[in-house]
Amino acid sequence: MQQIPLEHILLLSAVLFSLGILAVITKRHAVVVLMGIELIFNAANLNLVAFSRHDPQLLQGQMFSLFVIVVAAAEAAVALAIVLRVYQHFKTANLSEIVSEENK
Amino acid sequence: MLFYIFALLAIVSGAYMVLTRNLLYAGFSLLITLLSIAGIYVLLFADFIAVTQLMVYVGGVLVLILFGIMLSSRVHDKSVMSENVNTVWGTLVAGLIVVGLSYSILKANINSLPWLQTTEIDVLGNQKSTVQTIGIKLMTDFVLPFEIASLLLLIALMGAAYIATDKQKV
Amino acid sequence: MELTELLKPLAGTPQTATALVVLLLPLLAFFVLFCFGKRLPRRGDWLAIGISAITFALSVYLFTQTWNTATYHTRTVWFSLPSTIVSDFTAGILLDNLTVLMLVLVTFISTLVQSFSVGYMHGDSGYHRYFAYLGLFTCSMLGIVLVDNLLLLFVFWELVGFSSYLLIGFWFHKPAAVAANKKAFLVNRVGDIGLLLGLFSFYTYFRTFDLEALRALINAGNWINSNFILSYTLNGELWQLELSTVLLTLAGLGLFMGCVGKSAQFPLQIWLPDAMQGPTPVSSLIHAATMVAAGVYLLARCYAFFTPDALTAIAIVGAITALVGALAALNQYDIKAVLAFSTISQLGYMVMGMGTGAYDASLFHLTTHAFFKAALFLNAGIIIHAMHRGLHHAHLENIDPQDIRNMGGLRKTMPVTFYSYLLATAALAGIPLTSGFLSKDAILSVAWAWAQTMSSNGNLFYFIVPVTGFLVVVLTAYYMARHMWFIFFGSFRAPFDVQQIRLSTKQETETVMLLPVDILAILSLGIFFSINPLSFSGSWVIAGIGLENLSLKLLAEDLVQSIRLQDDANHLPHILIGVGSALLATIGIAIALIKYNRKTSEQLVNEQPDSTFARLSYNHFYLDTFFQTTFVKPALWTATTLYRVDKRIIDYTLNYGSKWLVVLSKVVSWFDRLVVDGLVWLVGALSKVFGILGRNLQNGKVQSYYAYSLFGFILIILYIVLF
Repeated sequence: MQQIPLEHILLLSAVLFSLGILAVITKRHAVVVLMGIELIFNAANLNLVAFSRHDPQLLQGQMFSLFVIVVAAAEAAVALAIVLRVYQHFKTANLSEIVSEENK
Repeated sequence: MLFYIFALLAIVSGAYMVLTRNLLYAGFSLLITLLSIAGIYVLLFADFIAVTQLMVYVGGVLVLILFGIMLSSRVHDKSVMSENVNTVWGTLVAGLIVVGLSYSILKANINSLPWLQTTEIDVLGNQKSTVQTIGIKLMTDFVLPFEIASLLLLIALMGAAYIATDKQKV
Repeated sequence: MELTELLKPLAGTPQTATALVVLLLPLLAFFVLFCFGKRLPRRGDWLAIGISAITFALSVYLFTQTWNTATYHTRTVWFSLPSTIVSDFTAGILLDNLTVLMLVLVTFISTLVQSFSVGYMHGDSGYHRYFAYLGLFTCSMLGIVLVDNLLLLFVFWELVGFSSYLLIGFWFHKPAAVAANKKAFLVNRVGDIGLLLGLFSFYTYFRTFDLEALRALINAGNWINSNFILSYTLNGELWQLELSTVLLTLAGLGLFMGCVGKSAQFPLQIWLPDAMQGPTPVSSLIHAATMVAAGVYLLARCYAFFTPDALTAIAIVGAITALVGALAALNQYDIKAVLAFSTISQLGYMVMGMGTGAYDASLFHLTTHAFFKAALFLNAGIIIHAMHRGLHHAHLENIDPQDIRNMGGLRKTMPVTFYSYLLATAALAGIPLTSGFLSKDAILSVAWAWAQTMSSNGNLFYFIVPVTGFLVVVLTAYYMARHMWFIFFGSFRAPFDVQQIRLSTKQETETVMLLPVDILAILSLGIFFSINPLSFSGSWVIAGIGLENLSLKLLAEDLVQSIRLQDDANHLPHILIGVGSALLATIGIAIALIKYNRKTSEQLVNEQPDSTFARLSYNHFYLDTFFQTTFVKPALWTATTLYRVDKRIIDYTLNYGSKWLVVLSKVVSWFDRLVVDGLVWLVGALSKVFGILGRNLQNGKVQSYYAYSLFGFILIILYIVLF
């Protein structure tokens, strides 16, 4: 089976990373921002997994990516809970419209 | 060859997620991206990770996100839209990041790293899967992080439940 | 001698207070009439005449208090300058024989003229204004007479000029009147310049304007080697003067210049004939007692300040004036012009008398002349008034009521006027028993003595002056006889009934006009001035105002003394001169009668100045033309040229320069706007851009901050990578 060049995986992860960044910066809806964050996590995981290919005995990369996935899941849960609270409070999930009571 | 198809799929659907203004489309395109990445994990001999990806992300996080979308929108007969802000800055920064990363990746000459040279590529070896290795690792070398991760998950679960609860005045 | 001692204030006396009242009452009349005259009953003429009568009464009271008994002098510090080399400026009232004589004269004539004007000016639109001006005029003249220093005298002198300007131009709708008052005013200014220079030169050396102090200073000085040596102290500082004859002569001639202007002396007499454009009573007042008398009065007041040379010049100018005036009067046809030129001539007499040392005789002539000339002018006024009435009845507008060629035969129509006119004419011509005979005789006698004294070194040219005087006697008699013949004899020559000029069949004219004339005419008789009406030596006027009363030395003391000695020695010449002048007057009258007796009415009415001499005389020797071409036209030409130079060259240059300036300023403003303002704008715009940038960075959005921080992170990475 042909080896996938490491550079190509790294490039893919770079592109996904920057797409995640773009989503985080440009999107107004909090949930989409969360999606962007998930994309960034995945890009990072991709790198870890790619390098762990060269570490068959220890598989440190894969282990790390496992924990990353766990933390990401926890983060997503908490973040969505926060989004829901925010929505309940402000009647919107639009980040631009969320302003404190004094500045309204 | 399969890798490039998955890579293209991931990039296109990721880009679509960023570009579309419809939240549901964005969620589903993220689903495709995550699936593609799972496929790439498989190609990278990380079957356990790929499965975890599928279960946690596609089965958990994404469902959470879809629920979040539905719960945080008051629209009934119309698509949920999200407008863009900071397009210039965002594009600039993202573009710079991708250019910078690509430049460094291409310039780094990763293949000449000594430990990549010396280590063998055959991950699986005689085994069919990495599950056994990972299981041993988790119970031996990574037992403390494993326990801490479980504690973290518990705390996150309680915290999320607590935060999301509608706190009625009792 | 301490000058401040001479100038110390003198306490007031009832007499000087009265004099002040006399001075201010006409002024009060002026203000009241000028402001409220229109609303007063009868337009205020009773007020003016009443005030005049009161001032006359007060003057008579002052006369009785002062004449030959005492001299009253009140002085107060007017203002002082903070300097030790300048003495205090004083103001005061001086009452002596000369003052009270003039006072009575002025107020008397003024009162009579004002009551005459009630008839003459009846119905005039400016009736109250007229009386107001008369009040101002009288006030100014009284001021000249009363004040005790030259500066105040000059002030009132100018006031006389100004009020005469108002009166001559009283009918300001007549262009001739406006031209005449302008001319009188300007010609007087020429003389006033001289007067002012004279005042300044005396003040420069003697440090005071006060007449008494000046006389005292002159008295203290001495002639040494034809230099006048004088020393006095002022505030303790010693002043030593050594003045040359030339300087003092010039200063005296400066004072005389004022007299030349005001008293119509050659060559400035040209304003007086024109001054008859004013109402006739005004002419009477100007010619008799007030304005022209002011010049002679000034000579008398300042008599101590004239050197012998100055007196000689004064005598010659007086003689020339007397001759020129008389010659010009020979061929005049305007009733007032004849009288005006005769005034010039008689003023020439007075000035000649002053110049020849006949100080008292000159003032005597001034007094007598005031009466008979006032009478003549008022009479002329009556005649003009009557002619107007006749012309008005006959609806004839193109006939000149003042032209004596249109009169004639009025002797029977207006007998009272005729006799008063005759009396005044006799006085003017110098017929014995009249006042004019006495005063003229006195002047001629002293002039003869002066000529004898001056020609003691063998130079007989000085006799020209008294001979001119005698010649003028003949001429005066001639032109007055001609004048009388034209008006009162023969037949009436205007084309309407002579009876129409009478007021009514019973009355020839208004009593209010007739009465003053008769009083004045009767006062022309010699008996009122001298016990012996054939000899002036017994005259109370001469006795009262003689130089010996001054008891102070003159600059020309030696000359005046020797003339007096010579005069006292001239017993036979006195008689000869008296008889001679009477004879000469008779000759003049005879010539006139012989010449005009044979002429028919047609010849008289059509008479024109035919011969060269007659034309010269008629046109006043073309003096007006001469002045017009020599002074007025060059002055106008210079003014026009300067105007053109101003307009064409200076204005053009200025315009051109200003245009360049505009261009330059445009360039500068362009530079300002684009470069200077641009730089400032750039600084502002830059800070604005930075401000906008900074404000946009701080937009309070978490995503933006995230983007910026990432950007910064990239920059740091770049820095690390590249350097």
